[in-house]
Amino acid sequence: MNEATTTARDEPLLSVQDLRTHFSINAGLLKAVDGVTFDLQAGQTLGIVGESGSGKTVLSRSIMRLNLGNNVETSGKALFGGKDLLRLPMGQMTDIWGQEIAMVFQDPMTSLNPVVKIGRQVSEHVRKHLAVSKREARGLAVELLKSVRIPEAEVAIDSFPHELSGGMRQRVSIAIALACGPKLLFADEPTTALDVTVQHQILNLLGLQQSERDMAMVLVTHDLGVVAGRTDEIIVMYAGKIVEQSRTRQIFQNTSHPYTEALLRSIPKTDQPSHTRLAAIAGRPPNLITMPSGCSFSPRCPYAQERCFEEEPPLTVTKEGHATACWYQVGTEANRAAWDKNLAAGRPATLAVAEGQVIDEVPLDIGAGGA
Amino acid sequence: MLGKVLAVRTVRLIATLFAVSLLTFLLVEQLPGDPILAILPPGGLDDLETIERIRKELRLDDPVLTRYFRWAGDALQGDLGKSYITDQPVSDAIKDRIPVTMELALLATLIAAFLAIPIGAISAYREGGYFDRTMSAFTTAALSIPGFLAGIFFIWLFTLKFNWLPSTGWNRITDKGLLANLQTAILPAGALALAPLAINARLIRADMIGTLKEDYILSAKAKGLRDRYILMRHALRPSSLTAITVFALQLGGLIGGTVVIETVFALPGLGTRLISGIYQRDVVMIQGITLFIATVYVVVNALVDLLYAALDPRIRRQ
Ligand SMILES: Nc1ncnc2c1ncn2[C@@H]1O[C@H](COP(=O)(O)OP(=O)(O)O)[C@@H](O)[C@H]1O
Ligand code: SF4
Ligand SMILES: [Mg+2]
Repeated sequence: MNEATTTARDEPLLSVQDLRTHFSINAGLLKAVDGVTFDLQAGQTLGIVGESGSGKTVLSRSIMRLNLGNNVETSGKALFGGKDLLRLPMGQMTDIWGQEIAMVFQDPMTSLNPVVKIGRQVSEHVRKHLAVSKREARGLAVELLKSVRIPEAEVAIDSFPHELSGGMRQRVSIAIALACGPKLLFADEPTTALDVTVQHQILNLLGLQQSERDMAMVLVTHDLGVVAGRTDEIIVMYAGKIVEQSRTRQIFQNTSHPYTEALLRSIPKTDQPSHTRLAAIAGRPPNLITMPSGCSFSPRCPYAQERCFEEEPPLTVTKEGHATACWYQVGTEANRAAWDKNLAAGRPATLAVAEGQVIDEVPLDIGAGGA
Repeated sequence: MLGKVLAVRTVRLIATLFAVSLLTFLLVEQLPGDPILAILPPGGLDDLETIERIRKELRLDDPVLTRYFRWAGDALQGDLGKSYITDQPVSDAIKDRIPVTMELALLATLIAAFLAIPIGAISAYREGGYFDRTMSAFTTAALSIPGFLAGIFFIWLFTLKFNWLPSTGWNRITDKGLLANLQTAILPAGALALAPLAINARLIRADMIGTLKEDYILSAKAKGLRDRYILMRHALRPSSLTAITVFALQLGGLIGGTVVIETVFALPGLGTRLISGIYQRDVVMIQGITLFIATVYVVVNALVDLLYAALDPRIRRQ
């Protein structure tokens, strides 16, 4: 899905530059997104990964100008086809929404209007953007529902959302997003609210539609397992900032940020018994209003050294284009030294990881015998 | 399933009506003064024989419950008795007076609905803005002014000052046509509409503010739909369920509320008849009209329940 777009290399479809979104709330200034920069080429897929609260949703909504409320301040640039979305008059945004850029929301229970029939919800914006007649819109709605594999589409268009299952509802949301043939699709945790068995079907559907339509996609998730093998590039976010960014394969094979490494440890493995406890990341994400000085991951990082608590590491890029913001990147000699030092000192964040690894390495039958 | 719901609601309705009618009967019984006194011709107070005869005729000496069941039994057959004073059957009085009262109540509901929905919706859409603040001041005022004062103010403004409309009296549609009728109906209906208008505008505003925060509003925005369309198609429909319920609930209350307004505007409605009945100690008339108003109120509310269920597909399914 990436060879065909080499011609567009120099002119990205979406170019986000130093995007910052801050909310003024009673407790202070909440920096939900704080200086994010990335490019997305036409037809490519970008994964945005991070724990809940790391700013993924705010980032996507900022680019789409969909943050509600009057306590929000967004700065930076989001160039889409050369135009800065953040400075576009609202009248022009309504032409871009749905037609050029579309979004699939996390929870299909709440993102569909409960008292409006499916058919109208799938086709109302098509009627507006493409000026088709009511009858044509109905035919189009049926076609769209068929294309997202909704059985008995002719019946489904006359039903209400609550009459469909969660998976079917998310298919409807996808049909809505695809209806006007957008060039860019944001999918914000599109499977988080769904059953595990349905998750794969929905992700496969998204991938299929994305490559069929040569549409660019931003796939937002808290689960690195979801983006594995489904994206061209991955951004790992922590506390509103990018901490690692690279081609998908590089992220998995040459993981260099300790936070990414921790996220990888917490992916459920299919060969594990389902009750196996995942190695969760020790500690909690930082408070976005009173951020720790130095590296924002330092309170939870098993490798953290004195420098980490004082100086914030810059995002540095290798010549292969692999960007990381860390003083002691995973896989380096300095990282191993930091680990040994912390282990010897009995640093809790380090011990937690060490013990997690020991448990992982105990063969299953011994573990069962001991219990 | 639906049958069971209907059965439960019907039983509840009957129980409510029983309680309401018993209360009406007993309360009116408790009014000070002997109804006989009202019936007697002037100077008849000393005529003990006549008093005794009337008592017997009206069977006023039976135990109170006996008289209640006799009254309620007749009422069930549509017979609310006859006025002791004018000899007019209560049901005739109601038939004669109800068109005025109904028209006032319906007109007031229409005015309240037509104004409350856009006021509430726009206030919510521009929450905290100029319009919202102005309307909030207006609804506060409308709620703190009693209906009869508003009525008197309307008369002062529209008849004494501008001389646009007649201040009192009533033109029947059947006699003078719709326009002349509306000229006499609009001021009292407007005064009557103020309170429900204010309450509904506030309810719709609050409800809409909640609805506008829903994910499906954001997803409608992300589809590139225009704000006005989203407001009408996606936000108003869920909120209108609340609004319709409240409007219908108030319709029952308005029929009671017209009593005062009819008096201010001297209209030939049920309310003025009730008031004159009270002045004359016309017990049968008071009981009959009160029971009628209460029954309308209870039945309207029961219908609202069903209407609500019919409108919301989520409820319809359960
Ligand atoms: N409208 C808002 N007002 C104030 N804070 C917000 C608002 N929206 C999001 N936030 C805060 O921004 C941070 C990032 O949120 P979000 O982007 O939703 O995280 P994620 O999608 O990665 O789980 C959170 O701390 C959240 O509380
Ligand atoms: S800079 Fe230090 S604290 Fe931050 S991730 Fe790297 S090692 Fe950990
Ligand atoms: Mg989110």
